Amino acid sequence: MSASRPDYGVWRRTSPFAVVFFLGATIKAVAGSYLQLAASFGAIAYLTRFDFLSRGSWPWAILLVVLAIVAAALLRYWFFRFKLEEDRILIRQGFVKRTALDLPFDRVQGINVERSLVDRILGLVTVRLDTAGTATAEGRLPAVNTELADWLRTRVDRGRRGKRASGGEGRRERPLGEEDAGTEDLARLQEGASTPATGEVLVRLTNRDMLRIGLADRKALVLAGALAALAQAAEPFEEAILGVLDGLQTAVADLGTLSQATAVILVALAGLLLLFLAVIIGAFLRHHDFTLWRQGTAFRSQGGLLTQKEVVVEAAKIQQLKLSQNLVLRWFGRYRLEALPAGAMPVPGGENPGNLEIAENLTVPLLDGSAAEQMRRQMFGTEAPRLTLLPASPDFMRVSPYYVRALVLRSVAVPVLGGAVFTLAQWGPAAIASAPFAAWCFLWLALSGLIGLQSWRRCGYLHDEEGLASRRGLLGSRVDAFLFRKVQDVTVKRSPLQRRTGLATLEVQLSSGVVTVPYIARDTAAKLRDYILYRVESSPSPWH
Amino acid sequence: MTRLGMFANAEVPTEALPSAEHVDWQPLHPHFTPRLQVGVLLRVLVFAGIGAGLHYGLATGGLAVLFRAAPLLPTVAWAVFGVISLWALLWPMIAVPYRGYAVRDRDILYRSGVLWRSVRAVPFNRVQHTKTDSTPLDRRFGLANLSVFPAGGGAHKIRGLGGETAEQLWVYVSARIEAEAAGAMESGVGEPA
Repeated sequence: MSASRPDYGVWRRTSPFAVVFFLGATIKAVAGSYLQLAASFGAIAYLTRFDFLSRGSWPWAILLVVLAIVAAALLRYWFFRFKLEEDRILIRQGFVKRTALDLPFDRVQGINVERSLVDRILGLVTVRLDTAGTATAEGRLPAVNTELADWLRTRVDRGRRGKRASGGEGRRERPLGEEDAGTEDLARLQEGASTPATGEVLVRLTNRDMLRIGLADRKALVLAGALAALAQAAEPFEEAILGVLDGLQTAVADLGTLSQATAVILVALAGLLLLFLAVIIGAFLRHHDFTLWRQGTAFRSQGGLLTQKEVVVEAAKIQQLKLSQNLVLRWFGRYRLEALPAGAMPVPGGENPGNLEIAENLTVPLLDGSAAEQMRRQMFGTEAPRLTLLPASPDFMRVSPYYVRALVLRSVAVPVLGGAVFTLAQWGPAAIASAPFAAWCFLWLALSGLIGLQSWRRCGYLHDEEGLASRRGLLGSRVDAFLFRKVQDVTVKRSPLQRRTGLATLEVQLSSGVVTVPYIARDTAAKLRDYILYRVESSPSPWH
Repeated sequence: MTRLGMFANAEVPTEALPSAEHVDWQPLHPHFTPRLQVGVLLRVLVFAGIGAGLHYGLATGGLAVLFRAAPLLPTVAWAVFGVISLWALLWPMIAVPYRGYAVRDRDILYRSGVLWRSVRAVPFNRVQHTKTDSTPLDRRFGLANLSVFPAGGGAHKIRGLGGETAEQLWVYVSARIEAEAAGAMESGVGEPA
């Protein structure tokens, strides 16, 4: 257990395996900034029929690029050093643009840990120190050993507790080299390095849940689209594919029992099966063995098959709870919950959006209604007891039916005008008065009417003295809930239609995003605004 | 302990809450409308210059054919340009009176919009920092802008204040932010469980 107490005051490098991490980061950076450039060069080369392949120089160019990337990764590894001190961690990195990060432990809000497959084989982890926005550089330690990660975690936990005990006076003063870190850390370490989390288990997902997550994944649709695009792009290989299909067909025909249509259906089914397999495997990769603990004042989730990811969010940092349910999840009677921490905080004195630190959401990919309500009670504590996250709750109040009219106006005006202009340009003024155009307008009106009506039925809000929940949706539904004291600013908006009908839209800005309650009575909106301002301005507790 | 000690849960009569509906809206500086108009005029002149160059180039260059085929084209283009420019020049006179701000003890309000009207309220104890700035054109008219940054992102910019007003407001808002921060410190910054 000598590793439980890392050396203080020594500049160190992380494990050499961190080169893999830096290689990944460099490739990502290069891909991000030069991909467009490369693509345009490629396009020019294609247009000018410049034949790279026959010039013989392209393997060298690729080799050069690869070498440059490897060299950059090595340099980044070599110049990445960190030093632990009694109350803080210092990180120095970069060889062209050097950055120095000085991070006191009591400023760290949470420690997120990620283990890739390689990491896990070698007993290493990547640690991300979450700092609630005041960091101007990334506090990320790639490929450090598990003991150090655990030590950091206990150290930060204690820093937080110390901060509370001393009533916000900052860090606890401890003479350098004092050995009281020992007992607690040792107890934790003896529980085992890979399962450091203790405390109440709130959610644990089974393999059947993985199946549900996979089936409800929105990416299934995206994947289907990608496959369709691929089928388009596969045109050059058409003959080969047709050949295979022909082979299949003759095989099928040889069987003599199946018609051609059945073969097509079979192929489609096989494609669908593959798709489902892919999304289900994806769910396993991301969420296998997902567990959510409550640990003191923090929530900690862990999951993943090959790359294990751990997210820790302090309860006080949670700004907003988002419970969503798409059609598939609705069929399963399950929900997806996201706890949004304070994100995108501006750095004092700076306006550079690059300085914004986005904290990681705590996501529970699948849970049932009662678990969702339990999570709300856990995360909001005793506050806002009459709120609910469940979209089916009868407590939600409807917004004004004028909302339908506004939605229809919004979705009809543009397409109809656009269609009219197009028709006019294409077929002349006679076509505007023609039956097809009228039919098209009518169809569009009917469709947007249905969509507007359904959106209005899904739209609702609910509040008590301490918080508000807003429900939106079309096919699925989504509930956003927050506590009034976490609000950053409030806006009341009134469109011309709303002014005529005595309505208003309430827009509440949180540090995690905007929550809108559209088309409520003007008086209600104004009162809610005044009440929220009262709660914010009289709240003694901080919002993060 | 400190928090429990300070904690009181008196029922709040919602009617008695200070309303942000009927506040004393402060208008923007009277020079703001002409300043916006001059800004628009400068842009109109730049675009007119580009347009004139284009006109000349097209009329004498290789595309003279186009002009002969559609002799009305330049007239129509210039007419559209003129109407848009005139509208942009007049717009500040319509829009600026709808803008205004109000500073209260605990928050700052800003209203705007002619057709789509909005009133935004930022409590001082949620403001991260504040700053003033002014472009050379602003300074010519003796104007400055005040920006207030809440943590939600998205600066809250009040344009068209008098230079001195902006400075005074900046001092006031900064003092309020500090006072609120100190108040929060006194009542215990402990995170609630």
